[in-house]
Amino acid sequence: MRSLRLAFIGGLLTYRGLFGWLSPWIYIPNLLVRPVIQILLFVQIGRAAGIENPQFFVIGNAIQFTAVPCLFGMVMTVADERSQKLLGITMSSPAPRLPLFLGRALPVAVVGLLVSAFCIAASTVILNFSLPGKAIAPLLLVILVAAASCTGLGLVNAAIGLRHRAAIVVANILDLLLLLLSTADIPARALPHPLRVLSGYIPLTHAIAAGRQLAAGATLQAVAPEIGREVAVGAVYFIVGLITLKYLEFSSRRSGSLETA
Amino acid sequence: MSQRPGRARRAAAGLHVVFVIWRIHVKLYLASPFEGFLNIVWPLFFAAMAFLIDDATGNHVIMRYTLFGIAAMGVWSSVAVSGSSLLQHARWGGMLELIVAAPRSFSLILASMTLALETTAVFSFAATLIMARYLFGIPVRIDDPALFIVAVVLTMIAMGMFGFVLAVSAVRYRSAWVIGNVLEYPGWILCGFLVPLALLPAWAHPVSDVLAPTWGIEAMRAAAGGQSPWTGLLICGALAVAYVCAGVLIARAVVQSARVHATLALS
Repeated sequence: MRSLRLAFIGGLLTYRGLFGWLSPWIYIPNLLVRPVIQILLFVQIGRAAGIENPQFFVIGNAIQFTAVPCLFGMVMTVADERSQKLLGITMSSPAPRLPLFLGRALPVAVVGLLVSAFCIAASTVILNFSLPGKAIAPLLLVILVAAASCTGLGLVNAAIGLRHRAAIVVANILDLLLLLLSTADIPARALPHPLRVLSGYIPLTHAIAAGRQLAAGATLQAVAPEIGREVAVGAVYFIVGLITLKYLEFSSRRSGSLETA
Repeated sequence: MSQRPGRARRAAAGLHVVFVIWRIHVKLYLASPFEGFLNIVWPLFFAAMAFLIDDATGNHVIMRYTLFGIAAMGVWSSVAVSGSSLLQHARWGGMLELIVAAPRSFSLILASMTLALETTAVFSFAATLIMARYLFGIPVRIDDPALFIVAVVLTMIAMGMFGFVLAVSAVRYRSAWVIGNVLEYPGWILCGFLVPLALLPAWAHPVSDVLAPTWGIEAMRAAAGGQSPWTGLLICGALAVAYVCAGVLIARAVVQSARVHATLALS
């Protein structure tokens, strides 16, 4: 019960205090307008090049954009504790680390889900296409899995942020790598072989594949293997993130470098 | 006759100020992970994506039209994202009041800073062309190198002046960097960097026409293809002058308003 309280209330408080994009002046343009424009950009490129249909780019980019709140949100809610002078207090508290950091990941994943769902809804209106009604609920599940999986990668980056100041720059690079490798905009066949192999081991790739199949009329059972792979990839990143956090917290204490990064 | 040496001295002093501010800011931006590293790397990723998508078509539909536009994407990103938050960074660094109170024109200082941003963006322009040639094997053919360089320089200056307008317009907006983030992709679309302007809806064409990069890129393509780039160059130059005039007027109004209401450091 204490762990649940720590995860939910602690997570919510941290999100409200440290997620720097909550102001509508930032949230609306950055998390609602920008992704829709990104979709329109790639739809235009697809039209110019004569490859794929708008739906390909809408589903791909909408799911890929979960990366923005999940990667940047995790950096803000963990590594930005330093700029608020709270990192030492957090790290010296006796709170168990698993609920502490899982709680911080939850609101960020929910924001990822909302942003992605908004992108798909806005794009269906702007680009005048429709999704099968039965696909909507499974698609939301896929997006939630994608957001959670990406939050795992965000946790790894946030952990690195405990020791290195450049975590926000790394978040930008990771976002670009996900855009390039997750097949959000580039069909898998167009990726060079090593990149195609790599794309199977990063968050979002399998969720995007599942999302596209659902939008094309597939059932939830049919895409279950892809969802399972996305869950597995996300779980690996979460575990790596928690281990990295634990290790860097310990090494920061030993070397007295928590506040000096 | 007696005024001429004075004017010449003032002009030389003005150029000296532009040069000093430009040099300091180029050094600052190149050392910054955002204005230096990310402004170069970010458009390279998008360029790589465009090249891969083009590869997938098999007949190089995109590349036939848009190689130089893709190279210029980073310059636009630099203008939009870094330009819009230029004064916000100055405010955070405690420099804004000093810049406004300096005995030199606020517009001159700001325009020099945006020119420095554009200079650092040249690296992304060059890096994209090098990547296209050596990583993707795309031939970079330039029939008239002299006019091509003129077109590149003029486009950079015009984009810098657009950044100047953006920077002064966003000075009272606390989250100015978001404006830049939101303007990045529309600029890529409306200036025809990635897709031919003919594919855009009719309502977008007048907007494209008042953006100097549209004409600058047109001039680059013409010079590279051995055609006359002069129409594009003239319109691009005229728009750059218009941006300077608009920027100076906006800067005067904004600084005056901030002084009267004592809000320079508050917004």
